[in-house]
Amino acid sequence: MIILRYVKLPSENFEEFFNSLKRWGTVYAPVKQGNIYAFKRVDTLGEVSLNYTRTMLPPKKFFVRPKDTLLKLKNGRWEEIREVKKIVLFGVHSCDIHGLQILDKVYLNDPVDPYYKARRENTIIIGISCMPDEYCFCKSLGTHFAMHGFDLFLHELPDGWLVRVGSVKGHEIAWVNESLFEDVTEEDLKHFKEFEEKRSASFKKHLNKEGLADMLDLAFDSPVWKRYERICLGCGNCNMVCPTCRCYEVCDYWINAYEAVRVRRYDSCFMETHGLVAGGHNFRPTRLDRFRHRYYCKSYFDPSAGFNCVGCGRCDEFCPAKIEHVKVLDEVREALK
Amino acid sequence: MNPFQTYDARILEVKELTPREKLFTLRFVDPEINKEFTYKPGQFVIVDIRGFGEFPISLCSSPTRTGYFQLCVRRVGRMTKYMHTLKEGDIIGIRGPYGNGFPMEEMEGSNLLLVAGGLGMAPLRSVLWYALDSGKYEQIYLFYGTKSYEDILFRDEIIHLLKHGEAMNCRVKLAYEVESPSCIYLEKGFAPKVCKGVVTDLFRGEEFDVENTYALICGPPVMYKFVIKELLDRKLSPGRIYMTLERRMRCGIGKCGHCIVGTSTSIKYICKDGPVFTYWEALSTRGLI
Amino acid sequence: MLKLGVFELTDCGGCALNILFLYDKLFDLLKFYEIKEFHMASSFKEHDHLDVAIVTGTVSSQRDLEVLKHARNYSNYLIALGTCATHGSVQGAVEGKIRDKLEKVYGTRANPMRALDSKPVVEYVAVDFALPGCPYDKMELYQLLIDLAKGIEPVKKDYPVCIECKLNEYECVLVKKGVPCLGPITLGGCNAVCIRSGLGCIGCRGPLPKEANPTSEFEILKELGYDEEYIRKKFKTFARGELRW
Repeated sequence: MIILRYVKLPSENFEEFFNSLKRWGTVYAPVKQGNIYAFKRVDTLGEVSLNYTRTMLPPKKFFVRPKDTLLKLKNGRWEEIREVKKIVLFGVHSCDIHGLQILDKVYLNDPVDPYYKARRENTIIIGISCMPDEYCFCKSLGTHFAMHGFDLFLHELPDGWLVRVGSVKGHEIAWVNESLFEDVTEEDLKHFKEFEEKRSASFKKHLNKEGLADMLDLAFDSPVWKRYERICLGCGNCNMVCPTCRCYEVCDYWINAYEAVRVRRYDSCFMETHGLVAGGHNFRPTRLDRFRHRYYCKSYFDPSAGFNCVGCGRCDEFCPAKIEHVKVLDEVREALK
Repeated sequence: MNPFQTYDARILEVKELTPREKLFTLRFVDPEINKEFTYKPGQFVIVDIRGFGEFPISLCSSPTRTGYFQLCVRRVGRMTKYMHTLKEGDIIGIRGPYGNGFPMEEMEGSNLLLVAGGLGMAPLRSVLWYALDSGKYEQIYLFYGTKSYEDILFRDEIIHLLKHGEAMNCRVKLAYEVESPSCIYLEKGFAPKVCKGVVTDLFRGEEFDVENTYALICGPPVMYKFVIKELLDRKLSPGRIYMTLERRMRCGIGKCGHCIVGTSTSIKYICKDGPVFTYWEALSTRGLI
Repeated sequence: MLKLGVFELTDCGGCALNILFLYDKLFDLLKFYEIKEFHMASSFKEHDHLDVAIVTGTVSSQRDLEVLKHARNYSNYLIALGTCATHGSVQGAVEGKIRDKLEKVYGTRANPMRALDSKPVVEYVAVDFALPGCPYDKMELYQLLIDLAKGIEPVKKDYPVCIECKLNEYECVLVKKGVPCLGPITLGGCNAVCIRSGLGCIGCRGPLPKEANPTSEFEILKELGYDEEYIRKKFKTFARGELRW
């Protein structure tokens, strides 16, 4: 059988296919933990929450870890810590695939971050289709469908999955499992189309990105920022859960009397020291400055990578103050009129 | 190659420039790295005190003088305080150089107007020596604003240039804020090149061939606005005004995000896109100055 | 070798004990420090100059005050350790004058123990470093002591509990369970231990200096259905009156 860009995985073969993935690496998939989802190591398909909404921490945690030991000090010199394991990320949503591609622009740009690169190269990404909930607005940003950035992408069908092959690696995986796949029929394509149409109509939240970057730039002194400064806790939760936030802080820790490690951890632009320079001058001294900075950073449009936001809805879901990204931008736009 | 790895550099000399600033002369322990280490004026390195942390610092020596490099460190934070306790022979980690640096080649054959305030003298000293050593520039002006006589960085060199600069096509002017006998002595000796006031006072009575002059500015954040006004009043093009900026550069390679500035229409990493920017870029990127 | 002294004022004793809980890590510290006084560890006591003094507990009696002054006067570097020393903790949150309190409990205004109104160490003397927490994170103390031994100032934390909570990928109890959690306005450094166990942050490390937004936190908790008096008490316990809303 010749594997094309599209193949079908019938429901009855799904579990076998899932189990076969283990030969490519340790499988991580979304798992329900209390009231949140998290990418965790899984052994059986039963553990996986296939219709999860979003994990709290995005899959970036596998490439830039929340706490990441980069170097170890031995005899006064830094030794590199780089153990790379082969992993399979199973069940990644389109928005998060886009998020990773935005991170790629930063971490794979010269000079390449070797930790990120090695982990990226040793990871297989298997996407999965999803239905939006009240927080999702990926469709407005065009990140609701991934054209690349995955090895295989599974689209739900009534009797199985339509599998898109997105890379040579994905092709190899399909090849090895050849017997599990079938050809895609006209009917499957019809179902695929129906699913996508239903999904497309299910979005409750829409971001008006018309001239967004310019609009925000004009709204530098908008009273809306001032209003949100009072509500915002400045806790940094939005940064921590964001698939495109990439600020990190580096700290050295002593692990014994003479050996230390250099650890980087996610940082947040809401912290006072983020814009502070030696000598005490702070370029973003107030919460208002920092709040606005986050929206500027997220709404920056890079012609080669798009916006720094993929509309995953995490910042809304995990904001204790219930600040809504789209609402803030809408209000800023409204106040400008 | 791991861009986070730092290389052993030995402190060859420590010189106290002012009560707050020390000049560290360094050389890489590995002769190969030493040979490969080239940089442009305006670039910076990351100093690594292993086990304690890293901090960025601009190179204040000139690449025309090989075999060593110099860093002028002001004692302000925990890292720099520690740096000040280091002595000759001590080893620290260095990585870099980073940043774009000043476009020295583009400016060849033109006049250079260096405007420094306080610690801003450090990166401009690199330009100054580069320009003097290479001899590829027309007239060089250095306008330097300092708090007091004690705060003058590279005092010997500045005084030397006050005395003999003209012979090298280098005109140095100095403004000080706090009066002291030493300052008055300087002022008497070198009037009108030395005066009480701020750096913008040094522009009084000066005319530049704006078609053929580049301005290079470095100083505390408040200084830029005033200096730029002087330059624009003289019709110097925003594209010919270069400034080197400071932010909390952590990684130096455009990853960690601490030095991001701008708004939704233009975002810059100071460490990668800068630290040298033209005034034109500052106009199009909010928050740059 | 640096000389280290540990002084206990009025507290539960947990902070001093927590130093001993460093177990084998304690031996790393002993490569740099000799202990000159540490009541909980040894009866050995030598009163002379100290390089580093650690003080735990609140000043709650005349005796405490004298011990504290001694520690300050005889040391180069003084660390206020634990929430009692940095913020006054629970005993510091009790309102009223000492003699009124004595009368209420013992029926007499006499004060033979020479008790004082409980106040944190930082209100009596200048401290070089304040490390809060009830109990504090012992690894933070370890880093602090090693940094000092190596001659560099320790790094101060600048982030709320939420940051470490997310780094550890703990379920957000405030957003997802409606548990009253003070994480967003409380200084981090504890590695979010309470949230790991599904509990809300009680704010034992004190408010995030300068940056906390208690007004918004107050509104959030009110919206979750907690009554104002309850929230007010929660805010007061460890905050030393620093929270205004």
